[in-house]
Amino acid sequence: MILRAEDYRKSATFDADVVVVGTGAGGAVVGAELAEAGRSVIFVEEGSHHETSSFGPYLTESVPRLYRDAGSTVILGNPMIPYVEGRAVGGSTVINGGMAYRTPEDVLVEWQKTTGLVELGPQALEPLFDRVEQKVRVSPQLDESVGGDSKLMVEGARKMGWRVSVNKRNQHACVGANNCGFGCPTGAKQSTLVSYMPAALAAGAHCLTEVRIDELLIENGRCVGVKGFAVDPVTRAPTHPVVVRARAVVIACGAVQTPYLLARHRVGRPSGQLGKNFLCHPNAKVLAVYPFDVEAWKGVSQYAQIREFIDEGILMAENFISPGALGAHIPFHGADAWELMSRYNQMVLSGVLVEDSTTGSVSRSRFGMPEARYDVTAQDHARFLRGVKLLAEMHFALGAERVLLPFTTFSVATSADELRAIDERRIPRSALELFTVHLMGTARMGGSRTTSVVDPSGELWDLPGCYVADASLFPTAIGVNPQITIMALATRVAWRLELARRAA
Amino acid sequence: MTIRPASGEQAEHKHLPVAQAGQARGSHPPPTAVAVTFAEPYPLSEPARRALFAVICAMCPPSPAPRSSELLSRVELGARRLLRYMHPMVARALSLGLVVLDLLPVLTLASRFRLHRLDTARASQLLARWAKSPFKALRLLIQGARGMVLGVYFDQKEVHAALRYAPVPFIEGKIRLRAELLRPVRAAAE
Repeated sequence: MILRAEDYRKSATFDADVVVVGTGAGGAVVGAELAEAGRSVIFVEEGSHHETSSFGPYLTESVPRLYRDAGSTVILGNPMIPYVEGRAVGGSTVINGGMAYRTPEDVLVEWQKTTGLVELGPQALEPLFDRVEQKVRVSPQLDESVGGDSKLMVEGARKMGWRVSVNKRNQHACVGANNCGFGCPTGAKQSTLVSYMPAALAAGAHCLTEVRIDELLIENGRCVGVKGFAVDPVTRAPTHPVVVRARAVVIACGAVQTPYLLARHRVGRPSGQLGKNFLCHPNAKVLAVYPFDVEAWKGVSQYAQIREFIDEGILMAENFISPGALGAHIPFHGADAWELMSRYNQMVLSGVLVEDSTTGSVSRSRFGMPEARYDVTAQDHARFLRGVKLLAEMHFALGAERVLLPFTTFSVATSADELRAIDERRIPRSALELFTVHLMGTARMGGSRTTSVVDPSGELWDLPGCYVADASLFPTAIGVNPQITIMALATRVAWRLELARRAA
Repeated sequence: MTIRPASGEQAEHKHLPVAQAGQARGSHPPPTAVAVTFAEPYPLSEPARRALFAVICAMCPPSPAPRSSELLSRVELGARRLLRYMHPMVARALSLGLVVLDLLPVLTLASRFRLHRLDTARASQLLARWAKSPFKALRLLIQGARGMVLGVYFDQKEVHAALRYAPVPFIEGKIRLRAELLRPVRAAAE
């Protein structure tokens, strides 16, 4: 059953074994696992439920419905980094690119070592990855669905002698509608909207949509529920109070909203780590214009990744976006904007993703919103310059006429020779134009209450009954797209919860 | 699950959504027309609205790009709708920033007139200059306004047509293609 804001006309109180706040890669998985194990589960989701058939290619229709704060969210620091999160049933899995990477083995070895938890090691997590991959149908893309930009990127990498790996994706018979960022209109992308959530609902779970949770219910030192408001899906105005009481509360609102909610109650404090350890895999866009049609929009995005520089923490990939989304990010307006955008069919948009070498923080600001802070380090600054330069060289080697660079002080190069001007003196950190969608690490899991926010079960060290199951759990950055890691850890949290219940 | 009305008068909860919203969603719902309802545009003061329209006129590309008064009005509507869905603090800051932009030609002694009184080319030129300002706050304001305005402009159907971008028939074709691909699987399952 799915309820909407109009259904909470007066104050409504619900009861369940487990309440799960959030329906993205973390929440949907925990809820589905527990519902299938016979628990009564209520999901609470701030966004609305949007059917597959409602997804379309228009930014002005999609962004207000599917993105938190219409995509106007930003991480403060040097430089400021815009980020986006999904706000709908399915969370960010509805709007992500569908990359389905397991956590790299070396990262898991590090997790095991630093946390002292065998459960976070490669062997312990393997069956969880297997299960998740089967549930969201992780598989390579059909060849016929691949777009011209992806093919060009693969050709470019081969020309440069770089290692390329074809992405596995959570998809079923994807034919390349290429609308991943605005919701998959064919239902091929196995976001939690069409995978875990239907399974949970079929197993008897309920989903309260259009409810924003802003408080935990704590009684006698134990978390016994959540409290919030129904949110009008059209105006976003709060309407009626909603309360859900449960024996276990799972918070899965993402690495920004989860610490924001927990910090209200001053919990997660023994280690002082709540909201710390914020990781965001910043990335920079490199836009190449070719003298021939590429028609990047006619095929699937992010078919492959260039992994030649993965040991340096640099990953490269192409990424199609619609004219609206691209137009919002170009450094020109007026006639200059048209001169560039009129070549839309001849463009390849690619990106350099850098694995974090530092951490930021998330706290509660005075303005009733989370305050995320993150400063790019000198090391990452150098990696961005190197990555952008290499990627731009590849585009010129493929015949690009010009390349737009993600630097406010040097935004267009028309030949490979001009790329020599990319150095730290001419392009300071503040001139980097970055962006991110991978937010992680603000309620890290660990084996000690002095170094982590939650215990190996995902339960807060200082608040029994309250669990975390999203990217907040990550002890470190993972260097790849995080959804499969989130799903695996969420599965683990669900299983531990179920084991604890049986033991009780 | 139990649904408990807060008081006796609120008994409508007993027959609420439970029955209607009912069925678990299928994995791949059949395509149907879905009407999307949006909020009213963000309420701007008259000076802010004038400033927004001046920024739109200055930032939206001139001919040969598609441009008409009707299109510019649609961009204004779309921008104000995006403002409505932003965090209230962000929307307020941006609308205040628009008023500042309107005053900036006078404040910087670049002109005797405010932005909305300047001709489009001159206003566009000033905005381009401020986009490279040494003041970070001003650069960010221009970036924010430009993102909002051009994001909406390049999302319009006539602009898509001029760019030779036709996503709707393309996606419709893909929906049909996938249905064809899955037909044998579904038939076997049935």
